[in-house]
Amino acid sequence: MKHVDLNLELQSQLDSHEWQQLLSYCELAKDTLDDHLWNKIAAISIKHVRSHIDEYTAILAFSIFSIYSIRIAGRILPLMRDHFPDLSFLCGGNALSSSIDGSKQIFGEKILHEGWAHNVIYGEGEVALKHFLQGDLLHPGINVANNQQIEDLDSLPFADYRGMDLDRYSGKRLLLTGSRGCVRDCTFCDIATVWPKFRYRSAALLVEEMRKNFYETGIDRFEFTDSLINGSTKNFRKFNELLYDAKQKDPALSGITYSGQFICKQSTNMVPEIYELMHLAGCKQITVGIESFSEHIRFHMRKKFTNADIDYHLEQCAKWALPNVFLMIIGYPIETSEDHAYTLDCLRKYQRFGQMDVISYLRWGLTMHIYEDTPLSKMMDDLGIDAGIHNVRDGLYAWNSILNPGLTLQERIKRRLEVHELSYELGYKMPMVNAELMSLKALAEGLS
Amino acid sequence: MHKIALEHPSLTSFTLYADGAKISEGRCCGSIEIDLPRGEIEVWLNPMDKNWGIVPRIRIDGFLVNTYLAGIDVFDHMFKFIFADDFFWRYANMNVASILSSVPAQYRDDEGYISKYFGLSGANTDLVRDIRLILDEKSDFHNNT
Repeated sequence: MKHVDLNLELQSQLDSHEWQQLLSYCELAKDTLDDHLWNKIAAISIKHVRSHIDEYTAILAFSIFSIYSIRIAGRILPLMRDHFPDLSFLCGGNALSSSIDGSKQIFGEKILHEGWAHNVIYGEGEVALKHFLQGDLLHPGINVANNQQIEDLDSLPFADYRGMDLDRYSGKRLLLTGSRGCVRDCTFCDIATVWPKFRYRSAALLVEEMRKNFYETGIDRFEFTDSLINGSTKNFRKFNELLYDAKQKDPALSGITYSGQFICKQSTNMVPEIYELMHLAGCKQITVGIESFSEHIRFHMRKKFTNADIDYHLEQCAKWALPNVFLMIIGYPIETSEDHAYTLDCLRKYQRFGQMDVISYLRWGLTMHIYEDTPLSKMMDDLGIDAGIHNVRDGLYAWNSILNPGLTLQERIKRRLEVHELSYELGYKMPMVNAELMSLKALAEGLS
Repeated sequence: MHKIALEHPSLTSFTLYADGAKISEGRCCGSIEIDLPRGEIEVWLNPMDKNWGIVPRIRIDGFLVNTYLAGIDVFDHMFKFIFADDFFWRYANMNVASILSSVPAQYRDDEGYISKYFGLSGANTDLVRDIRLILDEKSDFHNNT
């Protein structure tokens, strides 16, 4: 099996302006892609796929990661079909289960309907792919969205990075999956459509996989792919205990670090000892969906943690020098001007955590957008949300709410600019600011 | 008043000086939290069994500090640093300088790379102004039609 990472090839061969244009197009902030740029993308894609094809190649398989991959996949797949008509095409990835065009059709169905691929696999691919290769096309999830979640993640083999040219990746690190699904059902998130149940792997196997991949690659930085690494507090604690223990027994492992997405929980659940264990085990960064500093907004989101929980979490992270990336959302449908003012107040309140690298990064994203298949998309009537006639499809940036009429897209962009300016003034670090502002500009230009 | 906390299993006693004047001293059993005045701070440590060379965990106002970023000089028997009103800003600036020094040579001038991987971006003042202008134009157009 050979693989091509088209993201890597495109990012390395497009200039920053072209990459930004592609990003805005994929993020649904801009509805068109310049013809010249598309021709360049097509040429790069064809060249790199062709270079990996030989007389033994039978199947071209595409992993289409997320909702942001749908637009570009919808152009690359037909292109590939035209250029490699003799090969069998197979598609998988989370994006296949996403609704498109505001209809009931999901992307995998469109792929089959348009003839862009001969087969698709919905949901988790590990077991289904094995059945597909054995010719068993009736296995759940193959060509029909009747996929079943894998119950026992411990039965899957360890990730294997041998044969990959990892030197080509910036910030070299290995990915590790500790769980799938989430213990929450946040209104803005569609993860439950992919993994309805939260499933996690045993702590001992995680540490064993880290050890194996460290010895095979020499890379000691691990990043969890999980929606949250502490979904099971008990298992997370065990993982940290075992990793720390493994380092004590084998000094070669002492440089191992990990990072991952994390959920803010109550102090009675995430007790202080767990934060200490994270420090001892080598936790180097956690990404936390705070989303809003306003408690009532977070409870509407179903985040289920209080302002006191945030303070406790930050206090513990300060105590053990655990850097956080805070993911934030500007313009949630019930956000008022008072909430926005409170956001600005909290930026000032938490400034010291930014200075001391406990809030290592703030990620403001663009502005609130409503995906199909999220709980929020089913609450639109209750929230008085009108998606309007905006021609952006799945990610609806341009909604209005008759219950919160002041919160127009224009107002959301204004608030987004204000948090950017204050965050910068207060010294918070913010990745990809220019790219996000460029996408915001594209959104502003598209305002009617 | 700011606080400094020291933590090491061998720590038995300490003496804290600010600008050469003894401010506090005392015995402790592995950890202690004391007032931290402004000035040139020296903290002398007495470890168990005169086991010199211990480096305690140091927390200032509850933050576990990186001694390099905090500008703390560590010796066998003591550590010293400047504690002033701008301590936290200096810590942040040292962190940024440290991050920039770790950027691979080929990316040193690549603002996009540094922004993406290290979160260090400019204010983007021009871009913000451009967006505001667009919003204003759209608003004017909307109001006039």
